[in-house]
Amino acid sequence: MLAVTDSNLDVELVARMAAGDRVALGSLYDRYASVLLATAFCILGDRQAAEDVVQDVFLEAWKKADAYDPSRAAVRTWLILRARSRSLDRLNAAPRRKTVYLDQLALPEVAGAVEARPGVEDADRLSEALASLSPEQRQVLELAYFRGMSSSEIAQQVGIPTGTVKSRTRTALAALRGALGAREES
Amino acid sequence: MTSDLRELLPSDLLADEELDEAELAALADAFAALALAEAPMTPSAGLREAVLEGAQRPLSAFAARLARLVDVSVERARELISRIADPAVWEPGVCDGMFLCHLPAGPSLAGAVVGFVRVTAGMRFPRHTHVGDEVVMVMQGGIHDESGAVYLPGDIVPAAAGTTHEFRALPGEELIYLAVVDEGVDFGPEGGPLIPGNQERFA
Repeated sequence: MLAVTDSNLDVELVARMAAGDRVALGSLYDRYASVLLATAFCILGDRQAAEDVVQDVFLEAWKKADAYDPSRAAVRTWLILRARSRSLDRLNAAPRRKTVYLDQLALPEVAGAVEARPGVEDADRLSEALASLSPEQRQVLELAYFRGMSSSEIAQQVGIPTGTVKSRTRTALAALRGALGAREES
Repeated sequence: MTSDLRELLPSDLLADEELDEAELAALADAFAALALAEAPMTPSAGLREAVLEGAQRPLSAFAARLARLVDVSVERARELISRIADPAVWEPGVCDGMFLCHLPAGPSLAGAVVGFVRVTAGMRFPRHTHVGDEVVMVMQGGIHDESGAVYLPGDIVPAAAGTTHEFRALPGEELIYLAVVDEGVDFGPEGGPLIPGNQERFA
């Protein structure tokens, strides 16, 4: 049973990577490098550092390909969340840079709709799901995702109670899960 | 590749919820969807090549980063990396299971101790003080710092002058990392100072 947004192609690529096939690694790279770079750059604000993270995440995927369990996480999701995690770790390791960057706090320019492309075949469904979020919901999710902020940090930043942040976040994620999960039923 | 998803999601998203595996996977997918809303960014031309090369020769993946950190050309950095496989370049460190390979770094690093360090997998690296500012780049294996942080290949970790810590090399592959420490490192009662000038240098 595959995770909801998993792609058969991605599962196949990881299986081939586990068998030592570098062409498969290249294909996985072609599908997701630009997504990972966008996330890493949004978090780090430094192109070189962001590219380093992208390289590191693909090499980590290569090394761990034989441990992949398709029932637990979609390949794409794992890659994205690892890129996010490693970018935030890198940001947190350099406190002076982090303070400067957070002060700027310009959250990423978000494209109107998700562009369909290899790796993002479900673009339409993603666009709809994201469009269903209110600006307030979008804001708390983005602060959590791109800035790694906790609910209380977000509360302080936005000027609302922590409880509101938590419930807004939960509702937003539930809405996204619902919209993304709809495919399972169709 | 499926390390606990919980570690990849903000802890306060998970705090009050009892989620089974399928719900956790769906939550992770939803959270990751934010990344997909971002306009994609085209990587530099050489990055794909670097990833494929790194799959074959993992240490070479860090040549460009090494070049930047020790102020040498990328070609020189590759040459330095190739030395890692040569037993002759390694000298014993302050304790069993630790080995050092001092590196000739570029001019901007005069006054720093610069080298590769190897630590047996799973071993504790003794407590030490960074006399000056330090930068470490993990190249193989990993570091589990006493702070709880885990650093993996590619991670570049700065530490400020005067800070003290100890860590453990992760189990599995031998830990190999690059260290650049202004004015060196002091191992205190466990091994004394390691400062620029009191070790062999390779031309």
